[in-house]
Amino acid sequence: MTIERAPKNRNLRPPESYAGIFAEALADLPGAEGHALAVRKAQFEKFEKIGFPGPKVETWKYSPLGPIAKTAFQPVGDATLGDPAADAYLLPESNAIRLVFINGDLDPGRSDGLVSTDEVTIASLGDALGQNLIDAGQLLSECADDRGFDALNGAFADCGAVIRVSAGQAAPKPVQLLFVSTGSQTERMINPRIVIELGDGSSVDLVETHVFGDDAGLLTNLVTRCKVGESATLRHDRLQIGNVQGRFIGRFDVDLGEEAKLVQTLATLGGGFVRNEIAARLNGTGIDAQFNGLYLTRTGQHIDNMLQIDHTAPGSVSDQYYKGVLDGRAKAAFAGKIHVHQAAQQTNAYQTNNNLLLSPDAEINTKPELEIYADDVKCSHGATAGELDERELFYLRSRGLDPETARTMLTFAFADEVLERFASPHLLEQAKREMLRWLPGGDTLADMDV
Amino acid sequence: MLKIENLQVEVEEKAILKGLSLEVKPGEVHAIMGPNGSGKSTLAYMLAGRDGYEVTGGGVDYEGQDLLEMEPEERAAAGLFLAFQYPVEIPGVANMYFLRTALNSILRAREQDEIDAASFLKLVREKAKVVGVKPELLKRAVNFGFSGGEKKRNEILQMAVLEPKLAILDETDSGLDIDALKTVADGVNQLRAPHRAMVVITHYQRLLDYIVPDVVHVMLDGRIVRSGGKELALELEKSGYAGFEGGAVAQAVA
Repeated sequence: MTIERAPKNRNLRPPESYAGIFAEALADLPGAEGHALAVRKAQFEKFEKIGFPGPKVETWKYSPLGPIAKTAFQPVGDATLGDPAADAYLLPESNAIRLVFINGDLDPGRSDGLVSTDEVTIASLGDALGQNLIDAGQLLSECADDRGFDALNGAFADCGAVIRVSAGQAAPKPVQLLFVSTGSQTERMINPRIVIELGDGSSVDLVETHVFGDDAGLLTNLVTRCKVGESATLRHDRLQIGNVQGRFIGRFDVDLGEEAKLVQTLATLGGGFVRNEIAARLNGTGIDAQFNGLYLTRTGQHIDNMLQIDHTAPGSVSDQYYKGVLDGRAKAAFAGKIHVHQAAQQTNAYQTNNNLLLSPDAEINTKPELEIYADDVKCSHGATAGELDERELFYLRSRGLDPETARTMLTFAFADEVLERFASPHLLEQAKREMLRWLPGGDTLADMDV
Repeated sequence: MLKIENLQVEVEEKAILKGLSLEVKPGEVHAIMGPNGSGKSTLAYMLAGRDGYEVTGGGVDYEGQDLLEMEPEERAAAGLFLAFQYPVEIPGVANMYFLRTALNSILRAREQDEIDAASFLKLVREKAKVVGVKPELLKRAVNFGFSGGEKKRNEILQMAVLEPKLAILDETDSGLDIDALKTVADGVNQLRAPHRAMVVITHYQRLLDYIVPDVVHVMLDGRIVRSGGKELALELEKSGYAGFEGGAVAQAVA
């Protein structure tokens, strides 16, 4: 016997004061007139209707939003929050086209090499809207239908970028998007929006850096919408670094065409509450999509990675490879879903999530999910949570290494395997330096790569 | 240098070493031969300081110190080295870096100056040539994806770089073809010195054709049952272990 129940709305209504905040914010937002204004208003209505995921929503079970859902965040607008040290995280000028945002505000002094031609467009969100480089509807509203954070972002989008490469072209240099936040004493948010369009056979390397500041007050709500055309290549690195206070919720949503290639590597080394959502649809044959991730988590941090990979067409490969190192009373969650549609025969889909627990109080919730409707596929998943290998430790100690150095070396090696997948050597170097700072006694291994 | 007296060791409440005595003097090479399960590897791991062994009787003196009281890294700093039967793979740590960290850890513990990167490079290249380790293996992760022979040679390379006073070679010959065996033995022989002692643990007499020992011990059921010159190894080769005291017991168990 089954009991029919009315579907419960498991979402939470956002605070009512958002309406006033939105009305006031429009004066400061780019593209707040004409068509763009209508799009923003529609997105805001949608946001109010959908709201935030409540504690009973399955995909947020291990990362309850808590106060984030109950707070009415103000956009940063023209509030002065300070000028943090951003230069340390810039890729060298000769090596990258750079867009730098300080607390959501484009920093023209540090930004460099922007282009807008028939072949390649790399523009800030403000310019893209101001110069009509892209339809406002496409820029602000094209994303997940049922996600309140996407609609919130569409209404309040205040920074970000449009990256467009025409068929057969390659971006002349890697593109770096650097978001630096100082934090805020009051509850504020920035809503970066990134749109990436790669024509058939084109390519770009994207380096995304998020630097978190001292205060917890600032929330980054990022939405990235991406289309990778046939035989096009996107290499995407994301480094999250800085203090353990920042709050970050981001969705990366990508459609991949036939023979497209995606190599994505995320490393979360900082931030207080971080949620990285990846949604990928493999819509053709011969696609190769790699999703790598690393999280280093300590007391006070909560890092959540959620992936949904949809194979809708036959003969493509996806590989999720995530590792975590958890110390103190750290918390982390990993959920990886592989959905193989009925048409997607000869799919190869893999998933790995290995966790190293350095402390008995750390907590990892890892959840693989396979939904397979085709009968001729190769899918695998594996998750582990454990401590350092005693045999390896003994081997190092028997060669004279003290226990701390031995532990640090093995932990570094465990995590470094993911970092090595970064496309950008500069980002790799930054991430390694940060990791050695993070690890107990890591400074003694500072020359590890020499 | 090393004096083991009536050593009794249990692993998970099972007696493995049952009153083992052995004395090794500087400059000597001792071979310990015995069948599987006689306790040879336990003895090797014990001496290097691995966890999980309970000493229920006897003791080990190493250069006037109580070896059993020392941590593994203290033993290494004091000049003890174990070449592992199954060297551990460490993905992500470059072989060369590992070796330099090991050498510098030991130098630091001895309050000596650390070696700089350039001098170390020169040193390790020389030693690698001597023990037949290909230069590209120095850049790869420690033992990761190495063949059985490459792993064993890498152990001997570590020994050559760390220059121990007492080296214990645990079944270094297992899994080696004859050419690899010769290279490894050559490497070991070059390290023979009046101040250095070696304990070579092996299952077969074969290795002892190339590393000629001063003393051969036969180990059965957790004890050394007979000691003699190098000719003892040949005798063993002919008669097997069954002819020795306690052999009947060992066979019955097997």
